[in-house]
Amino acid sequence: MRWQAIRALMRKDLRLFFRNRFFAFITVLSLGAFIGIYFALPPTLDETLSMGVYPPGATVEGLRSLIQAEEAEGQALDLHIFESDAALRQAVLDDDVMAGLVLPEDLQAALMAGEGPTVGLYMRADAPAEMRDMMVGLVEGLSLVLSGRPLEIEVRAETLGPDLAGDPIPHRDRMRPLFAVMILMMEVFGLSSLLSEELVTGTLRALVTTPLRMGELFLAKGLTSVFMALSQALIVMWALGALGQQPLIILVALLLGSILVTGIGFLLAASGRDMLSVTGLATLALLILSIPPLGVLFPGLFTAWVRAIPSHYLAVAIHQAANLGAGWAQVWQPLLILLGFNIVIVGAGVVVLKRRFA
Amino acid sequence: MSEYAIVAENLTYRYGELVAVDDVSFGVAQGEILGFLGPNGAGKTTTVRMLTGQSRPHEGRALLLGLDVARHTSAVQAQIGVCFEVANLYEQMSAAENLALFAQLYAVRDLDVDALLRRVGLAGRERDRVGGYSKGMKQRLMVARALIHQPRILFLDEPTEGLDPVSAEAIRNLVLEERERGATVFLTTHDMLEAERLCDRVAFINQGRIAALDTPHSLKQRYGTRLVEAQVATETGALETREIMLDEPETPGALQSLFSQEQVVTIHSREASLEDIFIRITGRGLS
Repeated sequence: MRWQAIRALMRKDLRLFFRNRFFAFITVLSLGAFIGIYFALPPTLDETLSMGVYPPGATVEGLRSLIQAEEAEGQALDLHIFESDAALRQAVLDDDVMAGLVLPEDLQAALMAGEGPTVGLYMRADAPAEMRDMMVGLVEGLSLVLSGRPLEIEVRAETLGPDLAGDPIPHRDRMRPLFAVMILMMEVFGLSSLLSEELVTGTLRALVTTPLRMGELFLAKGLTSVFMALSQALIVMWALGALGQQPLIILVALLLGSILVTGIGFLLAASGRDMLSVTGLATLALLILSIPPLGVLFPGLFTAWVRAIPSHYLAVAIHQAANLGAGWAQVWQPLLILLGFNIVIVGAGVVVLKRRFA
Repeated sequence: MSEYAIVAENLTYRYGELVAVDDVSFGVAQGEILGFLGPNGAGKTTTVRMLTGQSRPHEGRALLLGLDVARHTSAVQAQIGVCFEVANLYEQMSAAENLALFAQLYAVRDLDVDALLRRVGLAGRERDRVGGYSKGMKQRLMVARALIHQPRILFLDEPTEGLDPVSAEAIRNLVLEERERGATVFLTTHDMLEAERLCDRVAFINQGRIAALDTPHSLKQRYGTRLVEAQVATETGALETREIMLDEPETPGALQSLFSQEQVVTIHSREASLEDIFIRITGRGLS
């Protein structure tokens, strides 16, 4: 590696980045898009709540009739049946359902015998407080349906994930992952536009007729992009107070996020025919990558499909570390998956960029 | 080391089914200026890309200064300068910044930017952003960029295309100066007069193949015809052109009858141009 040449290219890219008025326009455009997203979201909270129950059986039918009654009163509940206690527990942890009820196999018989059975309730630490009240109310209703007598069931609640000890997360803190993804994605505009401009104007061709190797060229572009994205994201996260609890985890998450947007920038630059099409594609990518952080802001807003978007794992890691104080034991999995996405996306970006250039 | 600075051995390159360069072989001696002439789509740019390490040949090989370009790309590229047909400079940066960047890529530590810009007639404009330059200024800056590291081989792709006469002349003089320095020049051009003036030898490329390769003088001798062109006045006063081929057995008689039977208004001899020869060899024009 000729580091002098790589440093020269990085300095050149930084110089071009700060001299291009186009990026100022993109910044304004992005802000407009996010304001648009904000107003496109429902002005009131979607009251459809998802819950899981184990085991399947006769008592579930009692729950169904209760849910139908709730729906008649305007409260929508989405019921999922699980085949095992462990699966239900994991679904709550993964945010697939907001709460889980573990019903004893002999619930109805115990109620009829007046034994006062115990029902398990799994709640995520960051679930809304009203969810817990609703679950308890639902269990009380279930007792009435199955035995004709109220308040005969004991509810033993277990909080899954980091315990917030009654300290709910303010909405503005829930927005931290969204801000992180937004800031990182701004770099996609910068990188993909600069790269596309180099392809269109032929400056890239001038570079590759020097002793510079293709690998050095991509490394210089990638390092510039990661440096720009990471430094901006760190400044924003510091300003939002997100580095207070787990700074190292946030740093690693943002570093992986910066690599992710660099790979996406490579892909977009190779896919677009000109600057305008690259900008359009980057806007689309920005909108897609912004979806998972919205799920943090509004728990239960999205279902499992959101996991196909790599920024989901970045948002989860930042949310858990910055807002819930989660340690490596809780965040290693999403970070590992994000790393996997990075390898695939950066690799694909380099390959298509090479092919486009050839 | 080979006495040739550039050797192309059976170079072949395909775009899908289309054979862009078909089994091309030639050599360019050190210190020589070779003109590479052909119409658009003839395979000029593809050949240059293979010679400069931008594309790998599908068959054959290119040797520059004795090194296989495909295997020693970086080592070869450290010894060559390339000036492209279309301006590909960083327009948001100044001329000095553009040159400084490429000096670092070529690991040139003691570049005298002012002297280099003075040489291409851009003294005093080194701090201006290139985006504000005219086409001729950009072209001169690209030549300067190609000369940063004093390359042993210079590839110039249509360096004077569309330029004003002053800029074009400045670049032609630079090419000749580079030859004086000992550099080998590979010049791609449409301009036959330029090729004739600058080049030691010219190669005609057509449909991916070398159709002819020799000095302009030899090509003219081999393929060209000399003639006399006269304008004569008719009985109605209109002017008509008469052409009489030289070097033919009937030439003396034809000339004699021209002067005795016609009213000659103007007369001059005409030599075949390289373009005429190109058309004669390939059956098509250059433009």
